[in-house]
Amino acid sequence: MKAIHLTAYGNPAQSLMMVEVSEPNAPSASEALVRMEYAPIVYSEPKLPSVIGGEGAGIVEAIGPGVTSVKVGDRVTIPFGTFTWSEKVLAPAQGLFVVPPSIDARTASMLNINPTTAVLLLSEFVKLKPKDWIVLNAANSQVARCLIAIAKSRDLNVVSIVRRPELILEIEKLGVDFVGVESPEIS
Amino acid sequence: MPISLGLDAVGGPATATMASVLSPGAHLVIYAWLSGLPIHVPQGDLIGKRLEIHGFWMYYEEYLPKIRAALTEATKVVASGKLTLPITTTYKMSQIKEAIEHSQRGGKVLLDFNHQN
Repeated sequence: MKAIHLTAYGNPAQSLMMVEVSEPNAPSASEALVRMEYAPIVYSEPKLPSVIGGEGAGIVEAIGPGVTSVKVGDRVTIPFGTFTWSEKVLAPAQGLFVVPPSIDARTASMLNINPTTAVLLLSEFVKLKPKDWIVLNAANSQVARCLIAIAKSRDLNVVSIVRRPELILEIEKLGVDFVGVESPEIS
Repeated sequence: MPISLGLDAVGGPATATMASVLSPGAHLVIYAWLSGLPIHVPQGDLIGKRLEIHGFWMYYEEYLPKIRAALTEATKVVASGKLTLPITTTYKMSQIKEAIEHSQRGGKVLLDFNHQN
């Protein structure tokens, strides 16, 4: 089968290559074999903490003895710690997350990092109640889109700070409650 | 309207702007640095409002046991249709070089394992 391997350090456009590797073994107890569908490329280093090949989604093709948390045919996301850039991956079954059928394969491949980051950011620092206010920036970014949607699902109010006034309308469409243009007078 | 949580992905002077709108005792969480600049935090806000500043990465050990619940909540919001995750394009594995280069230029790029050759 085919996989992407890092063949040297340096610019990943030069050092990541498609290679032919042997198929994974049949899953042993507590493992599952997943046929990969999609995996995002997160290469914005050093601007975002990222892990190459750290997320993705696929279809369970086989399960090891005793595995009950997933079944063959489930669409699952791959847990952190399992390299995803390969046609098939062997992963600990407990770490696989079964995605509801209403979510398509491409979207599923992006669930593990940005939307999950957004939930943790909204949960881990302040106990927020409905109608509480939060402020964010870079509202166009993938994580911020997730933050806004998840904050609204919890009935929070969101302030977004933008650098350029021409972005206000676009940002308002994302569902924020108040857009402030960055200047010393914003407060 | 007290603002008790600030989520900064930019750094540089943008962090100072965020610090200026936060309420006393608020938490300021830094989760990315799109400007590439160190955060600026005026001492008047830090000291005067006793802001608490945190760095965040989802794979810190204390979050690992919480990831499944967070992923479950996020997935519900996506399934409800209220959160879409747009992509820019997809590439086959054989096009990994082009895929990385595209990702470096910006945009959400996916590797497509379904269609080889």
